[in-house]
Amino acid sequence: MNESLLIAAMVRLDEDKVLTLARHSLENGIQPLNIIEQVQKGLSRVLQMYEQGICFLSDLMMSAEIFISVIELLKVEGGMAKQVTTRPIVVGTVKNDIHDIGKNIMVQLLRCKGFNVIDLGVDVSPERFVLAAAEYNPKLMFLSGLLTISHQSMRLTIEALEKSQLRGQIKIIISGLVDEEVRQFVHADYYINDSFKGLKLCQSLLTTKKKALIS
Amino acid sequence: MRSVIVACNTISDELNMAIRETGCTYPVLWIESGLHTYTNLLRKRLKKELEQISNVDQILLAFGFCGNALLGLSSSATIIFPKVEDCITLLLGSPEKRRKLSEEMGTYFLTKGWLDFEQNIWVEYQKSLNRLGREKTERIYQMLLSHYKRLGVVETGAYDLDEFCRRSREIANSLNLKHHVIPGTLRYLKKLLTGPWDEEFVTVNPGEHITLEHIYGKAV
Repeated sequence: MNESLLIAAMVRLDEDKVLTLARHSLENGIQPLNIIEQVQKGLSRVLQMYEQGICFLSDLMMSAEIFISVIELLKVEGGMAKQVTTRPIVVGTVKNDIHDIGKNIMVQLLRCKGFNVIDLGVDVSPERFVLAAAEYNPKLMFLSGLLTISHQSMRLTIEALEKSQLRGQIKIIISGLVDEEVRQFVHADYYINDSFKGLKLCQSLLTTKKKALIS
Repeated sequence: MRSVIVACNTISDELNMAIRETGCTYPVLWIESGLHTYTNLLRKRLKKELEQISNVDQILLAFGFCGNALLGLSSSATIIFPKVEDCITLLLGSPEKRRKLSEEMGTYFLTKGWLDFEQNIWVEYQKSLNRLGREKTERIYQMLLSHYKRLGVVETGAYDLDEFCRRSREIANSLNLKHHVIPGTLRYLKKLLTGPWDEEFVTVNPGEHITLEHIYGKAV
């Protein structure tokens, strides 16, 4: 796989070229996850350019759209999404926030890797998260949010899970406009700003559990 | 009490009106607009500004939390700022009103300052049309605004509403959003100028750094 070509096409927002290169890589035996990693690098480059004021919000959105198209291509042509884990991952944008593009990318990626994902949608109340925790018995929960107010909602959600005695069984990952300071504030277990790292984190957390059970 | 106001240029129409109506005489240091999209840049800019202020007792920050751009800031003076996520909540009058309006339907709020000075959705839309064409732009904006139903113009009386609405209606039509004028208020801004700085404000003591606890309070 010519990595630089795939990243460059992503940075140019050339959807046709990205999909052609992804398809070509598959035909040459490259693993879907390696292709996703390259596309994520391109997406991160666009995000950096956006943060530096070099490119615009629409460019960032377009790169997210292309990312989703690649994941769908890999699902259909790459034979992904064959395995399903028993314990689901619950995902949602927290109360008072309706931004879901980052969340949707995460959901697509996780489903693409065969995880059973329950997507609660946007503006999800703490009570709804608690109900989902009780109903689905998830191993992992993703709380997503872009607005500043989402940090308060994340904290209230985690407090509600603690009060309901369900928190201990669940690893909570926050995503969006978050950092270590926000993670500590809301009492989450992990934070991510990058969906590929989010996927790797989920895989490692679920694998760790499996190993522990075996031992 | 020696006071200085550090304010965002995006709310200059509204703050100038509040200054006139309250007879406030504090000097104002204006921070240029356009930094909201990049909160790290806004934080650096504010830090630099605060470091250059001396010989005052208090700094009134006419800013909301703005994507946590205020985190880590400190000064040798007391810092006071409104307990709001952004200037839209400040101009609507309270976080409760913002929440209520957002619960009615997904609302993209707009003021004249936001349209004139910020990297706003309309500027982005025009750039997208030029760079990516109509088809991709429509696709992107369908995704971007999928949970938004209306464009809410916040009316505070600080500028000519009719003239502004001619522009905002065009934007709403292009983005397939309803166009609503939503009554705002200068009450909160005026209270920032005059006090009392009660539970609607965050007060940070000299030498203390702004943290998430200042903004949201301690965990229960």
